[in-house]
Amino acid sequence: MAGIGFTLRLALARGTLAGTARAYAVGAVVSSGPWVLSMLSLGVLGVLARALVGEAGLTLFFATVTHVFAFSLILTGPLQLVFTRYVADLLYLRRREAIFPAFRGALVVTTAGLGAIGLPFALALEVSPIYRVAALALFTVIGGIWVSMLCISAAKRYERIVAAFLAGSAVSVAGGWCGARVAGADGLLIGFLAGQAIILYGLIAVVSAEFPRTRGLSFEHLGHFRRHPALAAVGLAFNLAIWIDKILAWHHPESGVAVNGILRFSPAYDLPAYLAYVAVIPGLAFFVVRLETDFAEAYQGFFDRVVHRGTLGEIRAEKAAMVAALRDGVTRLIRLEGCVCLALVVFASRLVASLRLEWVHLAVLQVDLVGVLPQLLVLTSLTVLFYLDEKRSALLLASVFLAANAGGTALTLALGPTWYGYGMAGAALLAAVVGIGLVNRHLADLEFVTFMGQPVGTRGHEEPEPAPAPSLEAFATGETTRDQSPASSTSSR
Amino acid sequence: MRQAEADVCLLLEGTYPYVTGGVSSWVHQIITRMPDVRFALQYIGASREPALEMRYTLPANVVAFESMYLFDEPLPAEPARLDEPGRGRLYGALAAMHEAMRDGEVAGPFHAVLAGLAGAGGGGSRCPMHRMKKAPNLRNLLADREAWDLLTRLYDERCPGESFIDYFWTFRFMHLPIWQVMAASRRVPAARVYHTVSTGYAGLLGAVLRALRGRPLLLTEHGIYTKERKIEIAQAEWIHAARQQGFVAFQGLGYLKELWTRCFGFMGRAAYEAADAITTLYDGNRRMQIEHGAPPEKIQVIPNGIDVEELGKLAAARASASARPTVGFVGRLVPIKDVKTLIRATKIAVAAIPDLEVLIAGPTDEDPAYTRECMDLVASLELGGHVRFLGKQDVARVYPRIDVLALSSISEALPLVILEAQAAGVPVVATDVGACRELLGGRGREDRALGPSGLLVAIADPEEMAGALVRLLRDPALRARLAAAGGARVGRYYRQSDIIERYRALYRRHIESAPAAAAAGAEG
Repeated sequence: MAGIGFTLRLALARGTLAGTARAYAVGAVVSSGPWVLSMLSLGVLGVLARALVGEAGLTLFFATVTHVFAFSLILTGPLQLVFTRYVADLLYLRRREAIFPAFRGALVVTTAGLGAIGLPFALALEVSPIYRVAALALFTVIGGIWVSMLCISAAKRYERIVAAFLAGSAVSVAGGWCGARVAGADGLLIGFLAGQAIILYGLIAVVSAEFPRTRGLSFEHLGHFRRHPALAAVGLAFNLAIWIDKILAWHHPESGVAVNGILRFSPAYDLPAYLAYVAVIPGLAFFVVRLETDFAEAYQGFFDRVVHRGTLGEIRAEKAAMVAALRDGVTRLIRLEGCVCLALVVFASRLVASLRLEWVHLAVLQVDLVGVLPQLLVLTSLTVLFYLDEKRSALLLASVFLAANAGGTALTLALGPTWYGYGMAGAALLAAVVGIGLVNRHLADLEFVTFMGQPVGTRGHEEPEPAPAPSLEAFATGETTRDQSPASSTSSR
Repeated sequence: MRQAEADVCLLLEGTYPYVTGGVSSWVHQIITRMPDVRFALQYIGASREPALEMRYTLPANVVAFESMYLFDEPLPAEPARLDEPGRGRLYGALAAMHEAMRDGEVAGPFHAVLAGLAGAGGGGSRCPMHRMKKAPNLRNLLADREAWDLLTRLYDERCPGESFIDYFWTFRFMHLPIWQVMAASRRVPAARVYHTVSTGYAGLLGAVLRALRGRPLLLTEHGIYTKERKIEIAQAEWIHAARQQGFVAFQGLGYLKELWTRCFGFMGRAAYEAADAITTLYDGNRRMQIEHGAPPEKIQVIPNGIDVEELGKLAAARASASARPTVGFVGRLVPIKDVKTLIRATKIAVAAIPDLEVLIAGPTDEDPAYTRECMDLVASLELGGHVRFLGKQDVARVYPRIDVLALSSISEALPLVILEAQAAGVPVVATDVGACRELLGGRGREDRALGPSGLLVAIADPEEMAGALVRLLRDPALRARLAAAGGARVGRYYRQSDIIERYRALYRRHIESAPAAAAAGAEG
């Protein structure tokens, strides 16, 4: 069940235009708020601190923060889906008291893991020891933020989450500016870190308000890795897929520029890529508020019909409704996002001019914008595949996306700046096609798999679960767990 | 146990040696009374849990003993990869089998299914063991798309309004034990003759063995399995039967119950058609077998027998005139014996015979709740001075003391107590169930000429029973006549040694024909 979506739909159900607008606005805020705030705070800091730390200092700062965000996301990827699933299972088993200790455990694992992995890289930087410590701390804090977002049912607490991000971002900006005044580049980073730490603290507070604050530390969730290796793999693959093109651009001799030690960036490639993501906001809001919830509802209808003794005809009708809901949602998503991206493509030149970017950015921006819609379709496909518990297909899709993006980007980087962005856009398109194909096939087989896939226990056969999985959107924006729907129980002697 | 080839392999579903009862005692007698015949035992149960205890010590002439548990057989993890013709054969055969289940013809589809399961090409494969590589396994039936297509096609054709999930699991659970029987058949010990003691899954196993190994199959039915299952199914709560809205009463059991009933009917017919000879205990059963599709010419009635000599001694030892008129009941205190009707009849009879005594001799621990109810009934009817519960008794001590044996069961096959009582010189009042009519009135002209050996009454009719009891107790001459007829009847037709001889002859005849069948190409 998509937590936010269903809660927001209550607002939609009121039917007024204002209610509808409000629901979508909240959806946008919840799904995109955090990362938009981050980008904004970085942007503002960039303006404020340029004079204080100089171009070089600023580039170092941005490169550090970018690497921290990117790699914390990638490295916590495997944990995120597995942990979300673990929490969902706990909720289904009504063991809410076990969640907070597990959350603590996950935080410990993340902090320790990221700390250990980041240490050699921090040491390799040619910076002051304070900077190294701050960078490493930022790495673990951001990792902690990703983990915290998993445990929150954002719909009920979205004001608190937004408040945490607002407060934290404000502190990041203010603190960063003060720090820059006092201690240059080191201070800038420390100030930014302070703000992010406040976000983390705020999120932990929300989690502890949500779940009983049982004592203790639990690492039981690590056992889930063995049970759901595909989930871990998908988490890793998908996050890597989103960042691999930028990482390749950073390290390519023509597009990449050294900053400090292993920190590199690509002036021509990065900025348009980040800007293009702004276009995802409406589509993501629509996905969260409408598309996913419509599908989840229809899916639940299907299972209800199976379990509550529907005839095969009725079951098939429910499936048809599911397919229709998905088709309608995707069609609307394409229209909505298509318009948004098209409009932005058309206005890209004005945008580039007003932001005083280079002309090379314009071309790349336009291509990147085209790639946004397919990425949303990939997200949709992954979500549906998780609902259908087709983990291997999900892994296949994420892997295709990853491989295509890596390969395509490598190729376009070699071909030169006029080709930048085509690799990612092409890969997204390919993955979208593959994703839709997989979804089609699995939906066609749904009754077959639902029934014939049931295990035949000998005496007292097991209860199978339909396993609605965490939505990938949740994962991508570091969002929530949902309550599991009641497992279907197929009766027998 | 040495794994020599046995003479006779008994197929035992839910009975000997793990369960006590009439059938098990019969099996034990057959084995012990034919010490020169080598027996193998194949037990078929539902599940290994809860663990079963052996209730009998196996005699020395049991040379092999195997058990199979239909719900515990391991399922292969992966379906076999079948080629096109293999798939076509298997699923075509399954579809035909379902048609047969509906319409009646069994042999053809049955053999087609066996061939389909064997996976081998074309005709003449009596031994799929060699060709198992390309044979489908059970997982195919649980995972193949063709299996799903068959299932949904049958559903759409026959019961599109039924709960699909119930239909799906019914389909699976009907098929599973059947496939398990077929797949596990190769573990059955080798023998020259196979003798199954019921239809049902044991009967199906017998039919499979008949087809695969070519040895003769004998079938003996004590109760009629198919009918017993039909009653159980009709009462079962766990089978979904959609409530028809707006109808007060509706015909039939509901589709799924019909399906189960027909499935057992199919298994029964498969066994009847495969058997070379069929025996049963009494005529009523024979008629029911014919109704269920058994060819009449195959059926012999071979009743149970008793040790007439031993029991005859009790007749001689009768107390000449006992103090009080005494009626005896010998049997377990369970609802099917309907002891309460006897108690109520006692209340009525006491008005005519004030010093009447009723002795209830039977174990009270099988259904403590029912025993309690009977005792409460005695108390509430104020029969404490007339009815005595003796608990389990050696029958040698009961028959000499009683003037009349009463049997009030609502369902019986061939009650041994009637035979024993007759051998011990006691006339009988019995309800008209099972073989009682034949036992008390005679079966066949010659038997009937011996005269009645007891009085038949309707079930659950305390007045009629009381009337019969009073009549007998007041008329010593009638009692003597009935007892004499009973003694003659039992001595002539129900002597255990004669019965054993008949089975021995049956075995011999079919064992001798077996080498010819064996030469036709089957392997043990």
